[in-house]
Amino acid sequence: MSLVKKLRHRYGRGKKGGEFFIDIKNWEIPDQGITALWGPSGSGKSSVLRLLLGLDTADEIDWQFEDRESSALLELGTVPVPLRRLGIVFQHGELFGHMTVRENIQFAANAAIKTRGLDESRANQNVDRFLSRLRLENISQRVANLLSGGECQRVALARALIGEPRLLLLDEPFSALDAENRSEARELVRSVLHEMSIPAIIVTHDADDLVGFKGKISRIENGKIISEKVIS
Amino acid sequence: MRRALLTFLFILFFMPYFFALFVARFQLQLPDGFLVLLSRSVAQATVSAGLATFLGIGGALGLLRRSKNWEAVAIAPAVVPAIAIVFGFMTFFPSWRGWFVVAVAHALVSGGLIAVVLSRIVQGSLGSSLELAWVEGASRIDILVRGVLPAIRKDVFRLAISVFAASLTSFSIPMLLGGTQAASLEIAILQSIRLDGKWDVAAALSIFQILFLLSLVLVLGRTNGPIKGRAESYGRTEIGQVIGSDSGVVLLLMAPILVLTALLWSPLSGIEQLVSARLFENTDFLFLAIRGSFVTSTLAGIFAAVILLAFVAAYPSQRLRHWISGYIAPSTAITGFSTLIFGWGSDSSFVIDSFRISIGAALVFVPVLWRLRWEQLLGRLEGQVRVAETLGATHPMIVTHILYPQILDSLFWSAGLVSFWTWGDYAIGSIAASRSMTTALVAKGLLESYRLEAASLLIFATLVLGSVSYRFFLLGGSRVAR
Repeated sequence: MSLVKKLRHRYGRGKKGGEFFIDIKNWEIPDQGITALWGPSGSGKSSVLRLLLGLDTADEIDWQFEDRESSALLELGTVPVPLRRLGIVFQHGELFGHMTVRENIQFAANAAIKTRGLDESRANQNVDRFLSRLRLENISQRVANLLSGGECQRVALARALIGEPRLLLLDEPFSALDAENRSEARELVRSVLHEMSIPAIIVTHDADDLVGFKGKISRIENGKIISEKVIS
Repeated sequence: MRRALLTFLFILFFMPYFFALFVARFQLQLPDGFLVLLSRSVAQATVSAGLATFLGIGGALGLLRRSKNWEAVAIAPAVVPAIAIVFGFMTFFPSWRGWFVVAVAHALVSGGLIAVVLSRIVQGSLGSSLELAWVEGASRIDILVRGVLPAIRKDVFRLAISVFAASLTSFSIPMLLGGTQAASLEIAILQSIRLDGKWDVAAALSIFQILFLLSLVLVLGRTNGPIKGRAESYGRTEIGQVIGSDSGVVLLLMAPILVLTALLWSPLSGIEQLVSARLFENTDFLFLAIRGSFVTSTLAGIFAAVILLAFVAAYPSQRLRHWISGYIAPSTAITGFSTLIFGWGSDSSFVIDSFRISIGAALVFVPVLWRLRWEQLLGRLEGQVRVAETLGATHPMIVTHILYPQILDSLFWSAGLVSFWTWGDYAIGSIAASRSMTTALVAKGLLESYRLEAASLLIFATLVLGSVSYRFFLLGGSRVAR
């Protein structure tokens, strides 16, 4: 179980005082399945993700994370970004445009070998496994800049999973896709995460993303979690 | 490693100011008549910004009706070395001098660039809303007055501030067109060192200048980032034909026509005089100048590339981004004088002078390149860097695998541009070198003695050879990239 006991942050001109833009207390993230962070535009969803990743430094963060391998209780908010072992998939993929699909995934594998101590042969096996599982084999030599939106998201997912993250974060991963690709991508993400039993937080404003969804839904408004519901 | 690089870059860019303070024994003294000097400089910069904005808006209306190739014509005056514009003025208006002439020259240099940015904003981010207004029956005047002008007001203001800052710190143009009274703070800095030997005055003026610009940026906001985002290249549209104006093209053509006509004005008589050895008593001198320009411009390109690589290796750093964005325009005069530290105490030689000019040129031109391309380029790659960090990539991995491969083209383009600009530089050269060792310095001497035919040939040769040098860096870059 992961527990965000406190996550508070002010932005811009509010830095010197005033109300926190993000103010979250005692938010539980199950260590199985997907947690949806759902709310309207401007509610602070993506900001929460950036603060958890460490891309923005939170004013106050107390995030207790039970490591599944060692069962140790980690204070994840104080761990440097590369060592948090979190995976991220952004809305537009943010692929390394000059690299091929395989190189994008291999780069993530090499990073995991170097800083996360992932076994080299296992990492290399993961590369082939994800290329196959996410149907990327045929385009593995294609330069990332030439990929379609759906392909970009599949590569971004493979790249995020290759280092076997503790938690996967997905920031509006389907919103840049057309309707047909979107439903296919939703199914793919759900099934891959289920197979790998990696917990995930998916940030979305789109209620369609929650159709057929199983897991926890946390509704966010004005930087605060206002309701929670578990659908089993 | 990153911290060491940041410290190195900080010291390198502020070295000129430390040097001036050191020579002035840490004493600062504003000159007599400082307020008059300041008001003249501010008036010059304000008029420059006003005229450039006028040309820019008019030129943008012209560009809306022309193919994209015209953008190159519009940008050309801002890219070619200042000596070409100065030469145009001296050819056609030989007796015109003073701060107003300087302001007109600045406007001609910057107006086309503003026109390109504004026309892209109108076609790009405003295009569809203007089309909607057109379809709904709004007249051309209505679209312009109620649609375009209010929407681009902030962008126009920021562009005007950029021109104001560049004109306030301008050096090359006021050096030759400013007349006896300093038309910019930079010229006052030059005069206080060269004529009076007053380093305390020069240090005070240069520090005042950089603090003034920094406050301007802090008070009025950053001068470029958001504009560039809105001004992405965009195809020509029908709405451009509706609101554009053919007469705007005339404004765009003023600077190119001035330069080209001046260069072509008397080449035949120039060649004739050259052949009959009336232009130059000793033509060997020319070859030595070409050699000097070649060496200094190549070195300047290499130095600029090394400094930019250091920026990339230290990226992303909020501190670096803040100070390089605030460091809008370094003092060219102080930078030029500070290069005298290299080879201090020894007799100047070709090697030392070349080194001084090239390092000075790199220090002056890199901040320009930062605003022109690098801030946006590195900003675009920041998302990838963040993702790589979350994947666990180390900083060396990010720099070598993510950043370097994607900045190589821009790196060689930048080095080529610095090399081109250094071919045309006479401002830093006239301070840092003890002799007229480059073609631009020889041309400056000819301009000052009104030998315009000879100057036209040399300036033409400088522009051609500078372009070759630029191509040389681009070709080298494409080879390395492959």
